[in-house]
Amino acid sequence: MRRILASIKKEFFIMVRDWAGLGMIFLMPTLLVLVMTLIQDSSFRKLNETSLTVLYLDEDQDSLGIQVKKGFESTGFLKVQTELKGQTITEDILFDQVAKGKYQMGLVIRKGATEAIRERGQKLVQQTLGFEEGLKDDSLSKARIILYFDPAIKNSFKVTIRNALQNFTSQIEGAILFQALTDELAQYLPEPPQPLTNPGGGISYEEIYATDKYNEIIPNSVQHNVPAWTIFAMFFIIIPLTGNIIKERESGLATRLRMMPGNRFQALTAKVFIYMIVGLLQCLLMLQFGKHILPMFDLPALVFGPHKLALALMALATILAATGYSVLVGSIAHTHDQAAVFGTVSVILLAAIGGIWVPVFMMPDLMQSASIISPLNWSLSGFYDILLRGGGLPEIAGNLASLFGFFLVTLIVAVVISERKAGG
Amino acid sequence: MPVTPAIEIIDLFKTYKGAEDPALNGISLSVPMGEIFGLLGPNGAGKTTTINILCGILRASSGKAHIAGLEIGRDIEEIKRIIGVVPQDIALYPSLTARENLSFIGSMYGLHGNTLKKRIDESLQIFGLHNFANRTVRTYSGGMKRRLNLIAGIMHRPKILFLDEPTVGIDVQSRTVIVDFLKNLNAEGTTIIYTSHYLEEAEHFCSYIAILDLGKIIIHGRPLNLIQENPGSGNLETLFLQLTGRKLRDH
Repeated sequence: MRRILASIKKEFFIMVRDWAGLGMIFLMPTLLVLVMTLIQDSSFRKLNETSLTVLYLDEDQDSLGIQVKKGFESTGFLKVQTELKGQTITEDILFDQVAKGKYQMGLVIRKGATEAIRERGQKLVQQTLGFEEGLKDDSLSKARIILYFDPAIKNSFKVTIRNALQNFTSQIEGAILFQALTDELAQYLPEPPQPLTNPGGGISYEEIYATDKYNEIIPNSVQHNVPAWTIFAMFFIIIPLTGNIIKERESGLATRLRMMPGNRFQALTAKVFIYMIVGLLQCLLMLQFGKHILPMFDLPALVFGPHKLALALMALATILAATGYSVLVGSIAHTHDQAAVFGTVSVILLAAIGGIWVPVFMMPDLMQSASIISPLNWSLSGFYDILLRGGGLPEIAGNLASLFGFFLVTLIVAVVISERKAGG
Repeated sequence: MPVTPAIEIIDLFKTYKGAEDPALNGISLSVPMGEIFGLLGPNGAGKTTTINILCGILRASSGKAHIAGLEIGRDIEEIKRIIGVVPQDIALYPSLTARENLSFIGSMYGLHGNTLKKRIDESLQIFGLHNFANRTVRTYSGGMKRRLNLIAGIMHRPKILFLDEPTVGIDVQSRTVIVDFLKNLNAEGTTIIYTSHYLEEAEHFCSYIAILDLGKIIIHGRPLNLIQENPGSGNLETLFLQLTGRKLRDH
């Protein structure tokens, strides 16, 4: 035990005096989380709840114009702008601004649009009641609404806007139709009837995230990027750890250690322990950064989920897997350069495959299938289970087992390789 | 009652993976306790291979070796406790201080508490490093590192000490301190196994030598006797050249 404690103390001193290594371990992931979260924030918002400003020109100045504006504003993700730099928007300005990509959408409600709907409503009521001959559709005037879209806008977004607009206009058409019917009936009844109103849709919609316990958390840039880049940073200890192993070997220290009492597992235990602590600190720092610092950059705060023990175990399993992999690469590589290049490239590849850069669900089918080979993916999906789906230990048991298993296998293989190399 | 030799090697062979020729080609040797034994030879002769096998970090292809009656391989953990090794490389952690390096190495040999602290202080004092005990090793000169490297090998007072070129690349002052210290250590009963290319130093320092070439021991005995038995040699260096030739030994 004293030997292990002495080794841990030694590894601790080496670690705290390696400023470059510490910078890589703590500073790099902090910057990565911040930059990547900010960069990907708008993409995630588009996936979730993009806030879009619509240039709005209401030539109608009647019910339709007012209701559409209200409807857009009530969505919460569409902002309506009727002036530009203090000036009322004209159609030319609106067109110009959208064409330049400054706004993604502009909307013009033509003069007389509401009146056209009223007229059409009255005629339809009269026809229904048998006071009019069959009306041809082209004989009715139509309300005109012009939509200007930025050519770069996604088609799915255009469809969403059109559907929303149709929904608002249908409501207004319905209301006008009811009004026309009420007015018409009043002429033939002894007492004026109660005004007919549209009681609203007969169908109610309820949105629930498919998880039993924790359905408030919406996937966003923070919920993805903080765990993703924390995992990446944990695996990036491959640089300092392989450097440590190879320096020991190149300087003859590994030989000296082998000549001293004690087995190789004791020396490795100390390294694994120190890097495990570092990894856990990294994780704690990143999670707190996500919770307290990212909101200062107008980003949502990271929400941990209800299962803190599961979170801690997932962090532990991840750092152990990263340590095992680093020890393995350190044992195989002959030089520091080899380890640094192979280590960096392999972690970047495993990160890409594992969904760190781009979430797995956004990848093509082939890459989604390939993602399961990456231990970073096992970890990320575990973090997703905890942070997004409110999962606890039962939900992440498989991920934990895979990561702990990976740690043990890589460590044993690393020891076997080292022994073979040293044995000549 | 027969005295157990410090080292006994019987028909030791070692061939590295992929190599055509053996690094050790059947060497046999017995070194009595209390000697300063010089294992000499040109580059690639097999000196380091022999020492690495004796220290348990390399497996022999065949043959047997014993240290103080303990069998290499079977009793390796016990052997590691009674031997000390001073490798040719400066095998120290550059970002640790001298005290931290020694504290770690001493702990590996089971020293702790006041014993460890006292041993570190004494050793640093003897080698003139006590004023630099809390400086990181990377700030040391070559001679200081070499002295500290030696201390790291003798911290636990080994019965048998292996020294692989302990005085290479250092100034005369550091070399004198090291050699004097080793002589004192030997006088107190430590057997020293020493390799060096400094044949003049070996001639005066060693009580017994063996010259190894191409994996075989070509001669062994007390330096003075060997010089006298080989007329025309005059000194160990000339004898060495007579036996191993002048051909360069790049390997």
